[in-house]
Amino acid sequence: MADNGMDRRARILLAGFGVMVAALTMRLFFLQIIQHQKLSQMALRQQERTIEVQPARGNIYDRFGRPLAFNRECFSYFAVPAEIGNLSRTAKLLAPWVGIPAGVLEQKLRTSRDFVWLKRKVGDATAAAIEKLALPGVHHLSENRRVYPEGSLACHVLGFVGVDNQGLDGVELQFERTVRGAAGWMRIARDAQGRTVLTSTKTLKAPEPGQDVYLTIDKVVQHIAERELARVVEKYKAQAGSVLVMDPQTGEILALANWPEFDPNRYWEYSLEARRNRAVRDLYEPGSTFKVFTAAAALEENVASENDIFDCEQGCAVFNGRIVRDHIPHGRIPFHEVISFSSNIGTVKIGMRVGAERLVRYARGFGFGHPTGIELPGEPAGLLKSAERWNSATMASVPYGQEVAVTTLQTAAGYAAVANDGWLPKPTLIKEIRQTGGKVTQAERPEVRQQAISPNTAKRLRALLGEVVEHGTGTEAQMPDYAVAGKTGTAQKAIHGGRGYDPYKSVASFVGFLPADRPRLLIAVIVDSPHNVQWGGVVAGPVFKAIGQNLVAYLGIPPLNGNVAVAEVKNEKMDYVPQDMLSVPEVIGLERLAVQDQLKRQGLAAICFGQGTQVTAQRPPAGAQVKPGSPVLLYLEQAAVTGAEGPGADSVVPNVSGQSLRNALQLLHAYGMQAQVSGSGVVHSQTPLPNTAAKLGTVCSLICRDPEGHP
Amino acid sequence: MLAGERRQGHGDLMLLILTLVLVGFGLIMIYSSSSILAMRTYGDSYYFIKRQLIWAGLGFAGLWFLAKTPYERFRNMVLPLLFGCVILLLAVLLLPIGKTVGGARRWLVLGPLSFQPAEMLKLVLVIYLADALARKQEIMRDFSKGVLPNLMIAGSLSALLLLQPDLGTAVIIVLVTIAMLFMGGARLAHLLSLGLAALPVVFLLIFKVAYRRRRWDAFLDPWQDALGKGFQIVQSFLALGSGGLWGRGLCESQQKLFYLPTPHTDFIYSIVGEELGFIGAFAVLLVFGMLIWKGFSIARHCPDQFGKMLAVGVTMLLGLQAMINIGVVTGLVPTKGTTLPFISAGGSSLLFSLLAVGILLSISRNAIPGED
Repeated sequence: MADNGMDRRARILLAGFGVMVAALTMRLFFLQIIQHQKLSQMALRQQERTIEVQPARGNIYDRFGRPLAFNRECFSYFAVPAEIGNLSRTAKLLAPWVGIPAGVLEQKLRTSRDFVWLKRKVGDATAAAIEKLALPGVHHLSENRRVYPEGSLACHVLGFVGVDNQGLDGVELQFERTVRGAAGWMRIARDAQGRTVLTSTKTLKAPEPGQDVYLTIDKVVQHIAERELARVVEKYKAQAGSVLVMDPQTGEILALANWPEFDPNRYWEYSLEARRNRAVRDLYEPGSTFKVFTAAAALEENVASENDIFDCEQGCAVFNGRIVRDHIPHGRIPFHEVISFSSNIGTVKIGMRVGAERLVRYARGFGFGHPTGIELPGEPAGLLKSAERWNSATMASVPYGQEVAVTTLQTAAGYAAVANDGWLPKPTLIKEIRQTGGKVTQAERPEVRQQAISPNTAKRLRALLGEVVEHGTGTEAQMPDYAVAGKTGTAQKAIHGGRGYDPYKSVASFVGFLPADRPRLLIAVIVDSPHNVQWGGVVAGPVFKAIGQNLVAYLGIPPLNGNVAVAEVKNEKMDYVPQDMLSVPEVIGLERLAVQDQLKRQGLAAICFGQGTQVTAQRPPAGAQVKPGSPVLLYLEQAAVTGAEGPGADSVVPNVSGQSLRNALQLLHAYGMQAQVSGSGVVHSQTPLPNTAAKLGTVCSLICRDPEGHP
Repeated sequence: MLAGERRQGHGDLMLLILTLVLVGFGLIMIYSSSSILAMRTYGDSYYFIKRQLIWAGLGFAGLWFLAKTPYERFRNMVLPLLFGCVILLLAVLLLPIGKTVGGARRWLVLGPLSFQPAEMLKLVLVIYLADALARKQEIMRDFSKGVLPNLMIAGSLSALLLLQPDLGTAVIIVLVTIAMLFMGGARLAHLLSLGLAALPVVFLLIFKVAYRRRRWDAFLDPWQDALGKGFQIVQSFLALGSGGLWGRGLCESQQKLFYLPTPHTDFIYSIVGEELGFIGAFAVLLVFGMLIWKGFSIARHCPDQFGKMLAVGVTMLLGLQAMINIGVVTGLVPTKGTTLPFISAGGSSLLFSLLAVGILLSISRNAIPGED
């Protein structure tokens, strides 16, 4: 029958479908189950991109936990070219903000790459401007910008970091591995056009934040050292200079200052000259300051004693064909006067009694010819010829510090050994290293490298050095009520690229410690090529005195007899109880550093404008009520040409969001801002953003809403 | 006749449920696969789903209307309809209302909606063939009188489609025609020799057209040129493969993020496999299988020849399209532009698939109680 035939044929067709369904099922099983691993791996590879997540760099603090380097979040802009509609328009609008000519920028964007950096770590004003453009395909991500809140303070110790936050010099470079932390990895999904799908990110490894470094530097001591150094350099129009303040018993460096200096926040604007840490890296012929080591060898080896007479030959003598002169002619004078009047001829004669081999051995014992091991990059060993390489004239040079090359740090460490009963300390800059959260992972203990001389010899040397200051070449370093010991140095400078010494150029220095009998403070002052006056005692001695007087008050070092009012030193951490509102204190007329500490303890942020040490005006005025953490603006004696945040900024926009309109207006007024208000109720948003640097009189626009959230 | 009367008024409920399941599931998958694309292209993540809902509404209205219409009446309308289809196809090719998408001129634009006459043609041709074959039952064994004329009509219509070009629809028309000829009683020997004779034509069609040649090469070894010719099929494999047994979860597809071209239309089944895994993909295949089985069952229970032919033809149409689409997506069949009925986004495809179900429902109302 036809009907039956039709049904039979229909069954054949149906069976055909059965075969197809079976085949497709098998194929699905093959692709989805058997090849699942392989195919999903391949899919993952094309869909995901692994990106590095930078860790937060550790902070650097001074010995009392005052910040010297920390991070601030800032925006870095990048473009995803695939998302940009109009390339030339985008390039034209962005060009002024990213500092790339529009044409070049357009070329940069015309690429198949899915990620193009526009500008890294922009300032707040630039970020606000770019955000305002609201260009498609232009995105930002948060990065940490290294901030040195004190500007050039301790710049040569801190060093600086590059654009990827990598340490490039100083402690930043030396402790790169400790401070940097470990990068993490994050996987983000991307689509076929390279665009990031931010909804699906997966942290593979969280970044480990870097550890915090606590330096031995005391911010206040550092500030005083820098201030006095700058003064002397200016006074004598010197080429350069260094000041080093050390605790001779522990080797801890309280201050390390060099001039010229630089601002690590914008290091690229300074020459290599300004960035070099001269006190640690530069070698010079020390001159007379080296005589103490010759004397040390003589006393320790018992080849001469303080009252042995030496003939200084009226200021001119010839040794093995080499002429040696004294600045002031002397006749036959005892050993102690050879040192206190700094006779070269007498010192050579003392040196000849010691002999070359022993002289070199003692110099080595004081650490010369070898790096001190300071935690800074690029420290040289110095030059100290071994005895067998001495020629006939060497004995007429080395005893008073020629034909040797040393660093200021080496000299300071050598003097520290004299102050420290003969034990040579290892100079250090590191107090401790802490993990985020405060756990101390590494605490530096005072380290001595070796014993250079016996305690008794050291004591005798201290007496000799005391005499230098009392009535020798170092009288300019005298301090009332304190016994100072030290040695002047007026080293001639070798003619650059030629033979002999430049008669008009010298390195004037003074290295000393106080109190002379139980030294607590060692100060080395080096002034390179002062004009008009060359004498170490005259140029560097007063610097020692000025720093010393400041420091005995600050550190509370008791004077010879009786008690002098001693500045109270607060070492404790900031521990304020957060309150709703804080009252701004009166700070006009006070010392900037003291004010900054005081504000920090009270839970307020200090922002300085201008230069100088004294606060001449403040905003908000004393008595104003502000939230904890609010900025207090300090205006210093000299108005700044450029502020830290760009030209012309002389105030900061306060955070008023969430405040009632009345409070907000009062607060803006206190910071010298004007307001433009839309809406009513509490402040919902504000432009410019809070904590943006701005000019006084800037108009802030506030958008208010009533507290229920309706505009 | 009494038996027939008893069943009159009720369509096949099971078929309707399967259809609703597929269309509902399709809407979910279209949203999942197209929302990001729609957002990026049109700024509205519901762009495609809105259109699909309109067409689904139209489609179900048409389905209900056809289900209520006694199928015998289609016989009277079929010639004018076929004629109308040819006019529309020519209009697409020749008039400015034709729209070109992706190099093929297949669409008629009517205001906000666009429409593919080829979809309509498939259904109308099936009705025509069912009518013609039912009438020519006695002469089907005669090649020149029974087989050839119908083949000529199907062949010339296919040629018209190839001008668009639309090889996918042309192939389906030819396959459905052959299946219906076979069903109508044509001799196997005739059909086989016909197939042999057609080989050179197929060869020419595939290998003399550059883009089809590429697709053929890609079919044979898609991995050889995974970023070029084989890109689409390789991306489909990656989607299916990363689905595994249970899938990534609904809406979790990564491949829809512009890796897989046309994730909401021709390759929507890849996304099903990626998001719902082997389980989900197999379930969809199974529902299609049940729908096909249901179609054949309706044919078996239909008392008259035209009804039987029509039911099988319509089922072949839906079933073959589904199988070919899934075959393409899984790499068993060379790539062609075919949609997955009921599920892929695409108005004309959904509308005429639903109308096809309407015809099946109409036939089922007239069924004789079966032995099974």
